[in-house]
This record gives sequence, structure tokens and C-alpha cells, in this order.
Amino acid sequence: MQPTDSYDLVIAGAGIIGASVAWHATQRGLRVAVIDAKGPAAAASGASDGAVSVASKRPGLMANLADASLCYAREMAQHNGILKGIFHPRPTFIFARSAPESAALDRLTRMLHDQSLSVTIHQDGAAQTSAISGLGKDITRVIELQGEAHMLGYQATHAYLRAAKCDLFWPRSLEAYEPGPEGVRVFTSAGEMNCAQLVIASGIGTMGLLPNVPMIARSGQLIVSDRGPASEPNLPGPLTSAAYLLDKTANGRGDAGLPVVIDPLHTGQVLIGSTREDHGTERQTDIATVRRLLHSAVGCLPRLAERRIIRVFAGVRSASLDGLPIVGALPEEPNVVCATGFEGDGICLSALIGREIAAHLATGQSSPDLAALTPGRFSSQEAIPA
Amino acid sequence: MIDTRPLIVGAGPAGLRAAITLSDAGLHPVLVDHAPGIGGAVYANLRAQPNLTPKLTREACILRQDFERVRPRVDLRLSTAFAAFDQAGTALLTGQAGMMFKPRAVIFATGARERIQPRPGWTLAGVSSAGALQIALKTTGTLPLGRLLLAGTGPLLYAIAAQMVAAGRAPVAVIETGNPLRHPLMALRLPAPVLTEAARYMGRLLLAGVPILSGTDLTRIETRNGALIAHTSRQGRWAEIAVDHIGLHDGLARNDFGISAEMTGQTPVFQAGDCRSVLGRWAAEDDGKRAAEQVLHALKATPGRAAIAPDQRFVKTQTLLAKLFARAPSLAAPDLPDDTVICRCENRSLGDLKQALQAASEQTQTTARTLRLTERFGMGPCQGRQCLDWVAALTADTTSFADLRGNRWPIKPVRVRDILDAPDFTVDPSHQDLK
Ligand SMILES: Cc1cc2nc3c(=O)[nH]c(=O)nc-3n(C[C@H](O)[C@H](O)[C@H](O)COP(=O)(O)OP(=O)(O)OC[C@H]3O[C@@H](n4cnc5c(N)ncnc54)[C@H](O)[C@@H]3O)c2cc1C
Ligand SMILES: Cc1cc2nc3c(=O)[nH]c(=O)nc-3n(C[C@H](O)[C@H](O)[C@H](O)COP(=O)(O)OP(=O)(O)OC[C@H]3O[C@@H](n4cnc5c(N)ncnc54)[C@H](O)[C@@H]3O)c2cc1C
Repeated sequence: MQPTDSYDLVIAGAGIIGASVAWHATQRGLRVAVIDAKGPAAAASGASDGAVSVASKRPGLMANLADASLCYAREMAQHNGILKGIFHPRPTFIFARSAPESAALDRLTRMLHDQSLSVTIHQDGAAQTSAISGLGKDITRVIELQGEAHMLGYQATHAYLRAAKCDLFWPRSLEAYEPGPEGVRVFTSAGEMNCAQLVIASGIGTMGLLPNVPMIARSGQLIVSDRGPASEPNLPGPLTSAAYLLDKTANGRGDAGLPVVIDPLHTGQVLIGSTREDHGTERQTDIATVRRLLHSAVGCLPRLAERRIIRVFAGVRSASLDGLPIVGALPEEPNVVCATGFEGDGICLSALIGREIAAHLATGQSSPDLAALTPGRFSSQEAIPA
Repeated sequence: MIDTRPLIVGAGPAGLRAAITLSDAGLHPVLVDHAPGIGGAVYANLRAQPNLTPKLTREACILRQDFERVRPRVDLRLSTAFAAFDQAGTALLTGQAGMMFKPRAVIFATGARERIQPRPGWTLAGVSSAGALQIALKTTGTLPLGRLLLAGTGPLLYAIAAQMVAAGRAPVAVIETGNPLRHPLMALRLPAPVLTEAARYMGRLLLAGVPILSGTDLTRIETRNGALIAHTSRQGRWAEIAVDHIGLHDGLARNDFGISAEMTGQTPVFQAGDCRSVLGRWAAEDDGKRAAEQVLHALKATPGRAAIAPDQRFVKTQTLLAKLFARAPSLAAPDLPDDTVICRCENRSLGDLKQALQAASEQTQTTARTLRLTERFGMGPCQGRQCLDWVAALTADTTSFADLRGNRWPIKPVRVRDILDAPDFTVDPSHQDLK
């Protein structure tokens, strides 16, 4: 295909969200170009864990969206679907070490039941009864969930981009745009492009492009171990502290333990994460914090003490002020669609968001489920709290 | 008390001399080395087993004497690795005498690392780096059993071969890619100590009748009937040599892997010795002293020197050596068969790399991140020490070594237990709390 300067759709950002939108839009026959300031999965999508998790979501809308995305991704992983070999179903283990954490597990149980989600509780009991042997003595209760999955952000990004019949350009950044009656003029670092519609899926980069959409850069540090001895059974699924759930509730986690996730990778390595820090730089990792995370991880699974750490890295989540993603056409600019603010949930939500945005772009109709995510919700406010 | 003593990483000639200089100025440096003794790569015999009585050179003796003099003022931590330094100014040491502290200044004197050119068969059992053989010889007095072969390029190859001869284990041959003996006139421009040393090594090899096959490439290694078969090529003529052990060495590079300017935050950080510029052991001591003076200047302890340039004599020597050993055209990775393993940790081949590069188009470059995340180069436990030189060379127009390496720590894999066990002196001990 000869690249041209005029497209139905230009997508700024080749993270998992932009890639999913690109693939879904080409499935609907749109002529699509994807540009990225650096390259595919250059930001959060290449520096994250890949939990496709419903349990970790806030009850209500977010849990429903996550569940819908999970079910849809599961479908795409079957019958030679696009996520085959990339989306891996697996059990999830969530544990409590304290009364507040145990209460969080009770709330989770209620949420899964009340919202009739596809994720179910397989087992709930004392640490000794769980499928994971050798848990730390502080762990008092473990819930094993069935139905969740793992998907590495960069693998999904590459799969979508490879299959999407579209033009790809990088390094090329979106610098400005000008909506007009015929479409949108897009000004990039490598010249001008024209399109009927523009999607801004630039993660934290959206901050500079859309100053009226308030966001917070929230970084997280992750730790990667070596493969461990061949004799050691790898975890069947991630071991997540219920403190993570508390992080998402209004009260915060109070004096509960440091939230930690120990996530097994296919290679036999484990990924240990992650923090939430509002400094927002992806370059910053620090020894004291990593040590605290490791201390917490070894408390949960003492055999980790013998693993070696190969590297530590950080990623930046783009968070919105109200904790909901920011998805939809801009208030005064119907041809410009924004999709960002996924914070720690973008891998999980990417399947659904890609499908829904592509449907909106192709048909002009948008799903009522996403109405609450509209970027317009910020412009109605008088002043944006800092 | 919060510990802020200056840190020196590496107890080779550069690090030892830096420690001596700082101590003489009244400071109490922390000197750390992951080896069990002082001396670094060149004076590894300073840490030889007690039953060996190695002959030490005059320089080694002087260095040891000077260090013994300041020893009470130096906090020497052996069998302890420097693992990380973060933007908060915290250094993490792990191993026998691990700790966390906030050094006021850091000198990296981590020496050189060997470069090993991937070739088919280089990952077979029985093939190692020539330097690894040398360290074993210097510290334990032993070498693996059977016939030994050395191959690659650079002056160190002859030093190692001569040391093997002295130990009564002459190698079957030295296979040299370059042609250093071709240019005797050029060689005569080398400084006297270098020439003397070279002559001594060569004399020893000649006397022992060790063939030096120069202008010859070791193109491939395979196993046959329990032996290693080295396939060599010299101007299109092929030969085979059957041996039991092969030591490869393709020159030295700075061992600054994982040590970037970016990691330093506010703390003054300097590099010294081969870690700053591979100029050999004479330059290393000199450079260690100067790095220490820079630290003193930065800490305003004395009016030390601010900016330094490497001593031009040493630079000239190395440039000349590089010319002597140059081979045209050099055996480059693109000439190798596609199934040559480039990254042994993740088992990625040259063909994998080429394919990844071909997947890019005029509009899209293959980024460093894709080469790491998707292609897995540099992601194994060696962190790319072996493969990234070659990956960077093949992808020079789109990525850089720095992009491929990134700025991640630890600089070598460390056990979780060692990280947790290191006492924390970055905070007042009365406030220590891991939770
Ligand atoms: C430590 C950590 C752990 C996480 N764990 C999980 C998890 O387990 N499960 C989960 O669901 N989510 C997780 N996340 C969140 C998830 O990674 C993100 O929500 C998701 O990757 C966001 O994808 P994106 O496409 O919106 O943004 P990004 O992946 O950030 O992509 C944005 C892209 O836009 C490009 N760009 C920026 N500005 C411009 C411009 N002006 N022009 C052109 N291109 C531009 C960037 O180069 C980048 O490639 C985690 C995140 C972090 C940091
Ligand atoms: C394998 C090898 C063999 C060599 N043999 C010879 C020879 O026979 N003759 C010769 O003239 N030159 C030899 N050289 C060259 C020689 O290294 C230099 O000329 C000289 O030793 C440089 O001194 P230095 O102090 O800069 O580094 P080195 O002497 O290399 O000392 C560096 C020290 O840093 C330590 N170190 C590195 N990383 C860490 C870490 N993360 N934590 C803790 N400690 C660390 C190492 O253990 C080492 O002791 C050799 C080099 C190598 C790599």
C-alpha cells in the first residue's frame, strides 16, 4: 500500500489502545494511519504488567467494563482470533493479611455476585487450603478466582498492528490539529496529514495535546526476576494482595500492608509490582521502594528470597482526576476522539475500548455504556482542582 | 548515623590507587570488589590461593605496599558487589559485606570487560573466554584438562598464552585474526615497557614452539567424538584443529555496563582506569589517582584538579596497538550464518535479528524497545553484556547502545535475600523500618 496523506482515520499513539482502535477500525473498512512519537508500545503499554483483571476494579461501571472487555478478549483469543497465544486465561489468587484486607475480600465477593460478573470464586479459605504451597505465615485468607487472564501489553500491541491493514509511521508525533468542515488537518513532526477523524490515544502524551483534559502522571516501579530453578513450580497465577483493592476504594488502604502483586511470566520469571507514585517519571526507580516491595513479596512467598533480580523499571500510568478513563469525542470537536486516562487498567480495557471507538467512528453512534467516560465531563466544571 | 563515606567500586590498580589517594587526604573510603581479594584483572595473583607463591611484578609490590599503609583507613569490602545507585543517591552493595548507604562521591573503577565475537559453536561446553582461563590460572593455578586453544585478537591473547606456557600448559596454538607481526616498524613505535613485555611473551611462545596463526579466523566450532573441532580460515584456506578447550577473546571494552551518567543524581561520580578508557594497567593507576583528586576537588577537601583529559601517551599507545591488530575487512557479524546465536541467555540468533530489522519499513523504524521486548535481546540474566555490542552494531542507524541498554539496575543480577539483608545506613538506624 502506498502511503498517502489522506485517511479516514489518523490515530496518534501506538500503545495498546491506539493499536486496538486501529485494528478494529480497519476491520470496519476504514483507511487508517497510526503515528507514534517513538514507536509501538513505547510508553505504558511496554512498561506494565498484563493483568486482565475484573476483581481489582472499582465496583459499578469499571467492573462492568472490565468484565465486558475480558469476555470479548477471551473470544478474540479463540479460533485463531487475533489474541490467540497472547491472551492467557489463568486463575488469580488474592490474599489478606489483616482485618481490613479480609473485609476487602468480602466486598469483592459481594461485587462479583451482585454484578453477575463472569469471574467466579473457585475457592475461599485459609492459606493452607490454597493451591499455592509455601505461602508466608502472615497470610490468613486466600481467594482463588477463575475467569481472569494475562496479556502482555507489547504483545497485544504488536499483534493488533501487524494484523491491521493500515499505514504506520514512527517516529512521528502529533503536534497540533485543526478541525474543519471536511475533516481534520493534522500537523505532525514530519509534515501535515489529512483525515476525516482523529483519535488521540497518546497516553500521558495527551496532557500536552489536550490541556483541558486534566490528567495525573502516576508512575509505578516493577521488578523482574530470573527464571528460578527448574525444580521450582511456578505460580499458576498471580498472587495479589487485597491491599490493591483497598487502594481503589474511597477510604484508601489505611494501615493495611503495602500492595504487592507477584505475577508469573511464561518464561518462569516473576514480575513483582508495583507502586503508585505521583511524580510521574518513567526514569525513576529507587532502591528503598524496591526493597519495600521485595520485603512484602517475600513475606507472601518466602521462596522468592532465593530468586535473583534482573532488572527494575518504571512505567507511567495516565490517570484522570476522577479515576475513570477519558473516552469519546471532544465536546466542541466531534471529529476528534480522545482515549486516555486508563491508569492501571488499559491492558484490561483495550479490547472493548478499541471495538467501541471503532464502532463510533464508523457509525457515528456511541455506546451508552461509555457515556460516563466522555471528556466533556471536565469542561462543565468551573475550575479544575489541582 | 547516616553513612556518607565516598565509595570506590573495584579494587584493581585504578581503585586501589584511588583509595590510597583519598586516604592520604584524610578520607575514609569504602572500597568494594566482588572478587575475594584485591588486585583486579591484572594483579589477580594478589589474591592467589595461599599455597601458590606467585611472582609479583615490581609495580604490583609497590601498589600493595602503598595500600597496606592506608589499609586501616579503608573500609575494604571483598566478595561484595556494587549492585545499584539510584537518583536518590543511595548505593546498594550486596554479598558478604553488603549495605545501603549514601556515598558523598563515587568512583567507578570496574575495569575492562572482554569482548567475544559470536561464532557458530561459541556457546558449546568447553568454550569460554580466554580471560576466564587466565583468572583461574592466576588465582587457583589450574587450567581445564586437555588440549587448549586460544583464538581471537588483541595483545591480551599473547599475555595469556605466555602465562599458560609458564604454567606448563602451552596452548596448541594461538589463532589471531589480525596480523600484528606484519608491521615491525610500526610496532617499534610502542613505548619501551610495552615492547619489553611483548618481546618477553613472544619469546616464551617461540621457545615453547606455540604456533601463532595470524591473519586467521576461527570461523566455527563443533563437537566431534568428544572433542571440540575449531574450523579456521586463512585467506580462503580452511583447516581444522581438534582440542578440548577453547578460550576466545576479541579485545577489551570499558566495563561501564549499567553505569550511566544519568544514574548519578546529585552525587559526584567519576570513572577511572579501564572503566573510563581502556588504556592498560599503567594508565589505570595514574587515572585512579586523578579520579581521587577530582573527588577531593568536588568535595572541596583539597584544591584538586577539576577537568582531566586522559594522559596522551597512553592514548597513543592504545591507538597504535589497535592499528597493529586491525584486520581488514574485519570478521563482522553480518558475514556469519543466520543460525549463529547472538544472545545466549534468550537463545536469539542473528537470523532473528535480521528478520526483526526487515520487518521495519521506510516509515517505521525498529526501535530499541521492540528489539528488547519483542525480540528479547538484552533481556536475559547477562543483561545484554554479551549481545548488545553486536545488536547495536547491526542496528546502528536506528538505535544506540545506550537506548538498548537503558538505565536499569541492578547492574548485575542480585539475589532478593541479599537485597533484603543489606543493612540500611541511609537513614538513622533508630528509624529503620522496612514496613
Ligand atoms: C507499572 C504499571 C503496571 C500496569 N499494570 C497493568 C495491568 O496489570 N493491567 C492493566 O490492564 N493495565 C496495567 N497498566 C496500565 C496500562 O499499561 C495502561 O493503561 C495502558 O498501557 C495504556 O495504553 P495507552 O495505549 O493508552 O497508552 P500508552 O501505552 O502510554 O501509549 C501512548 C503512545 O502514544 C505515544 N505518544 C505520546 N504523545 C504522542 C504524540 N504527541 N504524538 C504521537 N504519539 C504520541 C507514545 O509514544 C506511546 O507509544 C499498568 C501500568 C503501569 C505503569
Ligand atoms: C580478563 C582480563 C584479563 C586481563 N589480563 C591482563 C594481563 O594479564 N596483563 C595486563 O597488563 N592487563 C590485563 N588486562 C587488562 C587490565 O584489566 C587493565 O590493564 C588493568 O587491570 C585495569 O585496571 P583497572 O583498575 O582499571 O581495572 P581492573 O584491574 O579490571 O579492576 C576492576 C575491578 O573491579 C571489580 N568489579 C567490577 N565490577 C564490579 C561490581 N559491580 N562490584 C564490585 N566489584 C566490581 C572487578 O572484580 C575488578 O577487581 C586484563 C583485562 C581483563 C578483562
